[in-house]
Amino acid sequence: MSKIMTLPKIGVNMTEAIIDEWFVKPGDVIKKGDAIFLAETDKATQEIFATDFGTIEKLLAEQGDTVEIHQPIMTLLDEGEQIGEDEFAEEAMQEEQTAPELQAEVQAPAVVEIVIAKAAEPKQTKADTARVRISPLAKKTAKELGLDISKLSPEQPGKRITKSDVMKFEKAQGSAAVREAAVVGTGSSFATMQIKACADNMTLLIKRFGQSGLDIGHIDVVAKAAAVALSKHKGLFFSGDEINIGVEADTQSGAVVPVASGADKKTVGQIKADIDAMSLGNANFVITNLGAFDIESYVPSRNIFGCTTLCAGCVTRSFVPDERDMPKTRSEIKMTLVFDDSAAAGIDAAKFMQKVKQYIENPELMLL
Amino acid sequence: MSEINVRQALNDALREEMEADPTVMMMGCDIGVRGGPFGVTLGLQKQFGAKRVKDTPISEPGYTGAAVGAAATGLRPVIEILYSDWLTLCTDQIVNMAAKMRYMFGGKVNMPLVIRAPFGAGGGVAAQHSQSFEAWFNHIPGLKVVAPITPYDVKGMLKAAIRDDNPVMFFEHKRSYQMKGEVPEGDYIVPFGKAAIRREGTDVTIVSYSMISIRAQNAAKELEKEGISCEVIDLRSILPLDYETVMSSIAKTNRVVVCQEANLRGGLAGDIVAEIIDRGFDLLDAPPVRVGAPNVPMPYNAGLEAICIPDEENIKEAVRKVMSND
Repeated sequence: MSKIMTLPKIGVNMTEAIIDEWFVKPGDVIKKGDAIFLAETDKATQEIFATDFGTIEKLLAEQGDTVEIHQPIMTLLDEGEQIGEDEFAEEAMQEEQTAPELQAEVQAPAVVEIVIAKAAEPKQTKADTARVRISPLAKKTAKELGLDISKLSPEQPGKRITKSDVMKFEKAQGSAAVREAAVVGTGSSFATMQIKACADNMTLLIKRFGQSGLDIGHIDVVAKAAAVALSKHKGLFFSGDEINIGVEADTQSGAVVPVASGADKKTVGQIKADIDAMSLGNANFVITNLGAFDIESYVPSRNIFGCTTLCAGCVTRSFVPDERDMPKTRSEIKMTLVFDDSAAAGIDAAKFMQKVKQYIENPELMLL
Repeated sequence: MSEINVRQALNDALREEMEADPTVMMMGCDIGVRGGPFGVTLGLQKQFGAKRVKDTPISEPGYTGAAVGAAATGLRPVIEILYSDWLTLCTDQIVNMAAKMRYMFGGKVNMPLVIRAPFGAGGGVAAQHSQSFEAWFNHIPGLKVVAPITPYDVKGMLKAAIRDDNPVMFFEHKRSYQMKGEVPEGDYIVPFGKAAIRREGTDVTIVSYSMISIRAQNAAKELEKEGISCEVIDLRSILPLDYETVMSSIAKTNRVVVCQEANLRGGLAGDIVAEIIDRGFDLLDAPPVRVGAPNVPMPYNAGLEAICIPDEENIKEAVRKVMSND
């Protein structure tokens, strides 16, 4: 019996995708994770990966079609299953309707060939041929950023593409690029480790920043602590001197990863400014901030960003025993490190995490 | 500082310049005994005498030609063409004589001539008394063209015009004489070629001058409530025109609306838009939008006239259009 594969939702705000190009055709055997088509989503043009496996029986959408998420895109057959006879009959009938010269007694394989040829035939999308409605400023900006204007789209269909559309696309593509790198980098093994740190001093520090009119969040201090700790453990997770911390940020068009370059040499305020400004760059260490959504701890099942990742949880209040084993309260933050354990030894990663914990518990140590 | 109206500002400028420089003199219909149809020259003939404040026959080409001769031979005449619609009559003297003389005499002749011309629409004065010809004269090399609107600018610019050795077309809006504003005591000039930013904003640049710059400021105030931040530029001086200020504003906003009160075809707004495109096409995030009157003679009927004079609503509509990305 054939099974249906639907369009997976790959971005937070993704609602639909335009099929730019199929990479597969009926008869192909695919496995989970194979790139199956190039999609134009609300954020960027990117590859969509199979969420199931089997032999492709039929593609349910053509190039250029817009498909909503969770709508069927193909049917798959399990190993050993054959493409059903009646399916051919159905195809044959469809072909007959569109191509009357085809005789009713046409042999099934011939029809399959036609179907395949149709699916494989590159179809020009509208964007290739139509003139793109774009403002001079947006055009210039796209050129400077090296973006293909045929890939851009206006905020609302039919409107002119403006600079803000270009900037949104650039941001989305920036994060897409990081994710793409992640897909390439997941071949190696990875490990996770978690540490809990007292957040009392960090919370006090942030409060004092606030009193001086500086809007600093926990994640900014964590980013700084990680950057300084990395500067003390050079070469542990990546080579090179430049410490570029990416901080996953939630935006209207989905999660993006702005980067604070040379973060160990920057102040907490400068790091925050870089993140807020959505500065792009090549992160060699990423911090995720699900703590912003009250998540206490997060252990990803794969190395999402393709580089060492520190998942910061929210700050919680907890009871801990004091010297006399009486309960006292303190603020705590949980952090999970996701790293390539074939490249860095667990003991070195643990030392790094201990350093991060020290900095968070005693931020003044970062001044040394 | 004192608050005076445009009429008083003009009168003060003329008086002060005549007091300071005995070569300054005036000609025009009814400017002497009557003090000018709009009262701009009240009291000046009494103070300076009929030789320096001359009433002339109703012959615009006649006294304009006389003023060109006077300017070429050492005086600094200020003439009044009322209404500016009658500039048509003396255009030969202005375009072929005044504008060309310095150039064709190799700079050996100065042409310190000021032509005051009340222009603009409103008040139900019909098609022959409502026109705005600034674009005609903007087209002519050798002239300077200004259209200030606030009492401060009007006074400072008329003084600058009188001291200029080139022929200056000085357009006063005929509906502005009662408009009040702060003017400092003592002598000052407002130099040509420097625009004023009347209101700062970030979303759209509105380029305007004369009366429509007041309407642009009103429109900008209302648009602020809609969340659109407009920067309003009052050009004050049309030729020379301060494109530096215009372009640096557009570099900030990336969107521009250009307003004129005259009918749109062949107007200054189109010329300004063309220059903006030449200087900074890549700065534009939307096609520039022009605001102006329809291409019809100005109706006498008050209702039709109100429809034809570009107002706050027209400007707001233009701003919304330039923001729409349509």
